[in-house]
Amino acid sequence: MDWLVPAVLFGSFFFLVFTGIPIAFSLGISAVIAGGFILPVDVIMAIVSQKMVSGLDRFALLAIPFFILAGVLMNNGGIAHRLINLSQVLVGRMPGSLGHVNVMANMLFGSISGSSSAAAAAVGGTMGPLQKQAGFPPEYSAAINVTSCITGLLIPPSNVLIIYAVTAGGVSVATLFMAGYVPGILMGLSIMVMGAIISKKRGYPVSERPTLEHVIKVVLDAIPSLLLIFIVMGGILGGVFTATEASAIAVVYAFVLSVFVYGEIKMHDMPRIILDSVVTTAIVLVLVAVSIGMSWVMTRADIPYLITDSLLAMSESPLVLLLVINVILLIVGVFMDMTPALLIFTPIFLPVATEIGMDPVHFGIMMVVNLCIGLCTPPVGTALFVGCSVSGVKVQDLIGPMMPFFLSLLVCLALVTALPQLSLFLPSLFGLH
Amino acid sequence: MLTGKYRRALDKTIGTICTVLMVLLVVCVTWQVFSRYILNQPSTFTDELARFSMIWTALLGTAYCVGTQQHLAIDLLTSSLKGRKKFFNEIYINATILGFAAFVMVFGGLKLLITVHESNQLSPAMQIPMSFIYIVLPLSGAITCLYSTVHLIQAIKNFANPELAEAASKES
Amino acid sequence: ERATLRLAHNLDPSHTLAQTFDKFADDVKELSGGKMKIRIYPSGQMGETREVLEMMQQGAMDMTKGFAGELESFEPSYFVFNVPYLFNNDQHLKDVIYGDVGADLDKLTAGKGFFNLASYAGGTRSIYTNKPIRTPEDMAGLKIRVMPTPTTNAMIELMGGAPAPIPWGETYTAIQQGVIDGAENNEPSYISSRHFEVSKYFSEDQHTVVVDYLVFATKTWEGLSEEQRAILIQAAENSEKFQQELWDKQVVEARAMAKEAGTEFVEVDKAAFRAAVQPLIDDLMKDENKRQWIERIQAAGK
Ligand code: NA
Ligand code: NA
Repeated sequence: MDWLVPAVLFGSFFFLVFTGIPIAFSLGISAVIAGGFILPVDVIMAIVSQKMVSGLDRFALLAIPFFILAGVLMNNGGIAHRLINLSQVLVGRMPGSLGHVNVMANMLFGSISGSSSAAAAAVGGTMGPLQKQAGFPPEYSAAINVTSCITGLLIPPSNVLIIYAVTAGGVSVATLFMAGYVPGILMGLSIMVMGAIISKKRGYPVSERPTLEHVIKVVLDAIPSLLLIFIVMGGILGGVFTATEASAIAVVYAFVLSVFVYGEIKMHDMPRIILDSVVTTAIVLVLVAVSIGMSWVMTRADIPYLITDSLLAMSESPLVLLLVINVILLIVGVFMDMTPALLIFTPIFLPVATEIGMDPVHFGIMMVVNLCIGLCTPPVGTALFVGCSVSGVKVQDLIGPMMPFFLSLLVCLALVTALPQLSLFLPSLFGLH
Repeated sequence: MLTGKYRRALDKTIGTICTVLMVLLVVCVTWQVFSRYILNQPSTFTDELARFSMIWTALLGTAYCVGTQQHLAIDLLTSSLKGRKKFFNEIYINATILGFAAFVMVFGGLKLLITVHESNQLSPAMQIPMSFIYIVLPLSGAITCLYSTVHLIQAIKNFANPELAEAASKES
Repeated sequence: ERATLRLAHNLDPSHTLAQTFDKFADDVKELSGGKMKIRIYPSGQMGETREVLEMMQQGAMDMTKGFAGELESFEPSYFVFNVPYLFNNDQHLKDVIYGDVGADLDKLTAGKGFFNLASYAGGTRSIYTNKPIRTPEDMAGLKIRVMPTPTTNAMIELMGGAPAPIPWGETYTAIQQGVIDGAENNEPSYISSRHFEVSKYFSEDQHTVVVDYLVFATKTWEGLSEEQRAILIQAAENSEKFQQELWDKQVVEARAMAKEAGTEFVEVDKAAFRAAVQPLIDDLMKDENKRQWIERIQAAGK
């Protein structure tokens, strides 16, 4: 009986997805079928429908529609265009330059918004078309965008680190924030290195050496657009608004700039632009909502414990245990979103980790780095879905191009796991640890 | 059953509602910042109103995307299908979506809505009935049913007469 | 007969009440000779309390932890625990929740799908910010994170501050970055949320009380035998005593920990705050139903 529910859940899900049912509906249907084994069918239908509403009842999720809308406005309104001109002038001579710009923008954006999907939407939505124009294949750009947008969950402020701190109990948020910098930046750099290798091999375009006159013109032209980043960052750091609220302010600023300053968007275009972003928003949010329903069924059927118990029975050596924990978490990340995974697995794994002498701060960073990778994998991968929707690249076409970047991220995960100092050096430097 | 101007009117209505809700979202959160930082008198209802509007936007938007067939799917297998097999697959997909919408969103949603309505549950900040929020489930479910039925009927017609459908797809 | 009951709550496993529920589960197992089991889902794994209460109405969950502020959405009478300075002291609160008033409140929602099996007093809520607050004048212009109910909003406004509806999970960064000036809660929550790292003055105005409940699904209860019910009632009573002892210890520990981390506990002119919020109480008394509840509670304190 124990393995029946997970077998039905995953079996029906894969069948539905590969026969072409939209992912959101596949998730919902498999949750109902599997849930039917543990609760009356009418009850489980009511619960899955409840999660479709209450799963979205989180203020932090507002960052998704706002940054999607801001992204569409920036694309149509000339802001993105000016920012890319600027970045081309700055790093255009490096191999695969626009890819690096995308990574850096994601690190910056993700760090302030604290949301991987928001970064993927805003940065990817802007960079994607420009990279295409410059001759990069859309699949390559989208792969870079998806795998680098997760860095903002490590670079503070980050809500998932707070969730870990609170779930773990007795772990300082300030220490965790400090501990997240190096691993987060490391992940971004590893994507850039891999991007440079691939670009050089495939001969992706490098821009010509610009004249000084051109540089000055481009920089001046980009100042109002650059102000968007300053307003968002300054507003958050200056305590004017929260990271979630910043996303709405970004919309307002992008709107004013595109419509009234640059005049590249006409008022009568606005309904179409807004509806475009509603479509992207709905596609992403319904996936979030239904996957929360699916993880409810998983938790209710004790699937997390089932998997953990059978795998942890394998060894007592710390190294093997850490490897096993990482493998379990990677698998978990494939099927579950970050927040439920943290809530469920922190209490399960933290005692094991402390038992073998691991620091809770180090463990939390390792866990978040690990689960970040899961955000880029189907079937449950918010970052992946957002990256696909804004770029128009199909999920299955993205898997191949993402593989080298997964390799980079796995190397980072191995480093973060094996070298506690990567996480703990900064906190101890600032006397927080 | 739902073609031509009626279909366009439905698309237009849902699209407009979603657009208005999206604007409301931006206005709500901007006002929240403005009232707190400039007026020094934080608004106490915008947080809740924004969350509820987002739920409505997302679920109505979900139905809209069923209509425009824009939901994310993995069409690895289905894109290789041709002729009658392709139409059979479309019948299967739309019937499955119809089933989910009818059983989970409409039936499950109504079951939930009735309990929430009967227990007079109120939202904490605005003190409005929570049934106003949950009603979007059966509503969005019903619209999804409508759209998937239209697609289902079209797929059945195509399945019954593949030559005609192929000719039609070449024209457009 | 065998039975597994499921309890979902949104506290982290180290919280006093989480430990209380673990003890409750142990007791049920022991009293039933292993025939009854309680499966606990902590940390909000199953969703927020409001969602879990709805699951209980549907028959998908058996128990949860509810606090008065959350139950108010389903039954307005719980407003009494949001009325500032209605309770004279801890004993008064316990007399109410374990007395006639509490017994009446516990059963009010039974028709809506759940009732209270056990009640727990959780101390008082106070304001914490980065400046000491002694009188309502010190509150001028301070933005305080609150549970956004009309009563709490009105209370903070009358106290001189501005209520800000920031989600609990985002409060830490909001205080750190200065979006808001502080929040309000009891000492153990001030510690477990880590808010003591970013707000250094815990001003003990003790404006409202905290009451938590072990909420039980009516549907599940109706399906249990008399014997099983008796076991649950016994274990629930034990858990109330266990929680009180643990609570007193945890408050002492939380205060010691906060002091060590540099928190200053500020003594507050409570009379001034009591006077400041009087208009709110006068306003509530205009409603006949609310007046009756308030008067019953005041009578229990005499
Ligand atoms: Na961040
Ligand atoms: Na995943």
